[in-house]
Amino acid sequence: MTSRAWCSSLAKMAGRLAVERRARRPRAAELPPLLFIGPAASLLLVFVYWPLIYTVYLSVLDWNLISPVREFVGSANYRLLVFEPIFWIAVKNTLIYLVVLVPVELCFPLALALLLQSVAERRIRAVYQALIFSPTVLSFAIVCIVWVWMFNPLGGALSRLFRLVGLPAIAWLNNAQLSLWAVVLVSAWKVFGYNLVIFLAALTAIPAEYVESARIDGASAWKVFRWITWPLLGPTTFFVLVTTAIFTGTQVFIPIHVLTQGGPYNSSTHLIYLIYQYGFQFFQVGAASAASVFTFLGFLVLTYLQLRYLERFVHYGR
Amino acid sequence: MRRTSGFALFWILSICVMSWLFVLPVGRSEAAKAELELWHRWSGPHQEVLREVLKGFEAKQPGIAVKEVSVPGQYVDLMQKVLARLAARQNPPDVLLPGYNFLDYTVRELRPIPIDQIGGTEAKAVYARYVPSVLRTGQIDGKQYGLPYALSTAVLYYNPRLVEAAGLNPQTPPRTWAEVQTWGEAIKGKTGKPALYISNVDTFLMQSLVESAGGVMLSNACPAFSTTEAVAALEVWRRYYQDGLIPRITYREAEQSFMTGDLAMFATSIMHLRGWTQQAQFPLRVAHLPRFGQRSLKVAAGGAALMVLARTTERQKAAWELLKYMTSEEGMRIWVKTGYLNPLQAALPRTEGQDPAYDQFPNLVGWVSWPGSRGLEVDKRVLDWRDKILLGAVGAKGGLEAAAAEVSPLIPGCPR
Repeated sequence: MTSRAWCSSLAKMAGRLAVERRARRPRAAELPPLLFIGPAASLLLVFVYWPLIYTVYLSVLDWNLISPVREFVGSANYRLLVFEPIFWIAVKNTLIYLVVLVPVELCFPLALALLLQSVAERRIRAVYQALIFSPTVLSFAIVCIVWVWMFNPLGGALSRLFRLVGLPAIAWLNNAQLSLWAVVLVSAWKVFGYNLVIFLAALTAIPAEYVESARIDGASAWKVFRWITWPLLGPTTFFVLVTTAIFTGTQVFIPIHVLTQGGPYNSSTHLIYLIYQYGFQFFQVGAASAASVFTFLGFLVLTYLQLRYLERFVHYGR
Repeated sequence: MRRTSGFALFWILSICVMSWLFVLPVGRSEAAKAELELWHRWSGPHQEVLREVLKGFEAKQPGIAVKEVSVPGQYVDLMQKVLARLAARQNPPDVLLPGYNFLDYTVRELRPIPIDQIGGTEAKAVYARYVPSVLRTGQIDGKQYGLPYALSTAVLYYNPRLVEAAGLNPQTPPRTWAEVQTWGEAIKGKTGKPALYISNVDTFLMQSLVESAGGVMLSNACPAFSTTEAVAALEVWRRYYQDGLIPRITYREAEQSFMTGDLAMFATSIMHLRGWTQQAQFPLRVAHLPRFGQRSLKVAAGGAALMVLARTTERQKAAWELLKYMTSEEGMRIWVKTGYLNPLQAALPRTEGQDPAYDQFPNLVGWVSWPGSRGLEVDKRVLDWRDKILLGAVGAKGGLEAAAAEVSPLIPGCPR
């Protein structure tokens, strides 16, 4: 069943349920489920939906979080952002992070997982897995501090490596053209191991008989990958795509804050970092909230596009 | 029925627990009167010395305990943490040490108690301890809101080993920026090491350079740093980057490199003297901040003032006792071991290496404090434009003019 047909039948079922529910009064037997979901629903309401609504309210105010006076300014904060060059730099950088990080975090971990899978000795495979996964378990802030040292063009590890092979040292963090890529590199390094382990698990779950029968029929390695492995990796690939997209939206704040603070002169900033700057550095809560609303709408569109166009390529069945 | 009432009880308890989390006030209870909270930005050796000062105070005032809270980073980080605490509906710290560059912002947003109000008849005696020009650094619109505590000026640290390796005499450090250029070229040419770094974490060195060149940062409380003199100062700074004398690294990277002996000269605050003397892998030397030719030097007065934010009379009285001790000869004798300068008229021992900073006392000017409630934003935007100039993205004239035009509308009473 295609995802569209599946969604359509779900909607019909929901509609039927609503009609039936209206037709009869709730009975005592139906209270327990409601009571069960009550606490979770309350938490969702308090920590997800209420902040969403409150953010929209704050976005029409001029307020610094501490003053008793909150001035209503209508769409002034939105207009301020639209005409603010830093906002568009943040939008551009956010798109760059997404467009670069997502394919990189899809292709390289998958390629390495396929390579690792071909290692026959399980213990050696486990050692490689542990080494590659280790960045995932380290504190992001602490490893970013280590990366600051590594990026140091005067005495850092990277500059020494470059000099060893006769290349000049690069000033990563204080170069407007490179600071963004330094953050992308650190982010990619952090997530790599996690995605690799996910892909490895998914590859292990593919029934060996499929591959064996294809090999018996004379299929090449590429054909096995293209017609068996890749389609069956669909759900995992979709999951990795979604989690990496979420990571680029949220977790990338840490490397930006520790490595570059969005600089030099906003060249490595990001929408989330811009919200933080407006909200907690400048204490312009209205502008920060307006930026949050813009970011929310952007990611909503992205999520819709993902569900609408990408999920159709996911094969769930065997 | 029994199961339903059990579920209902569970649900009600969950709601009650969540309500408790939101309804109960957080922060310090007003019943804890014996403890004062003092917030500052120092860590490492400075924090150790500050703790020594507070120990001395507690020995003299056993009824008052002081909890010092460090917010490591720059003064702007301290301001942000305090504001975040107030935004969370918590009480402000009783005593705060904001930087002089955020004095206006602190007075406007945090409303500290004027010193005259807390100190009463004792205030004048405390004022009399100070060098008059230094006392003024704690004033806004002629009113004393803070007692100057940490006081610094910019100096030029250098590594005598690298200087000697370049064939130069470490006993005669450069006195002008033109001489710095000469030294820098010799060091870079003969040792291959980067020659110089000028602190860029805030407006401290930028103001010192601009005003030493004959410019000003503010005029009639509006941005005035796009004059010919200011442009000339930034051009000199920019040329060091273009000529490769200043490497394109961050402040943190520069500090690491200087400590390991990979950078020859560093222009920054005298406050680092104690920590750097301990960490440097060479015998650290200190020189006067260079000037522009024959023009007289002007150095911004860096550091922090003691301000009282306590809201109850009892806490304000306790805070006043703390301020009196910290600004006394006894308290300051301990504090100046950090490398910060003595703001009092009383003669106190000098740390080795502080002489050039003390020589610059007559040249002190107040550190620019951006007026208005958007001072934090103005500061960041000015620094961004300065970085664009230094890294060659824009010219000094165009950059300073654009910066002034961008921040002017954010300051009350300035042209839109």
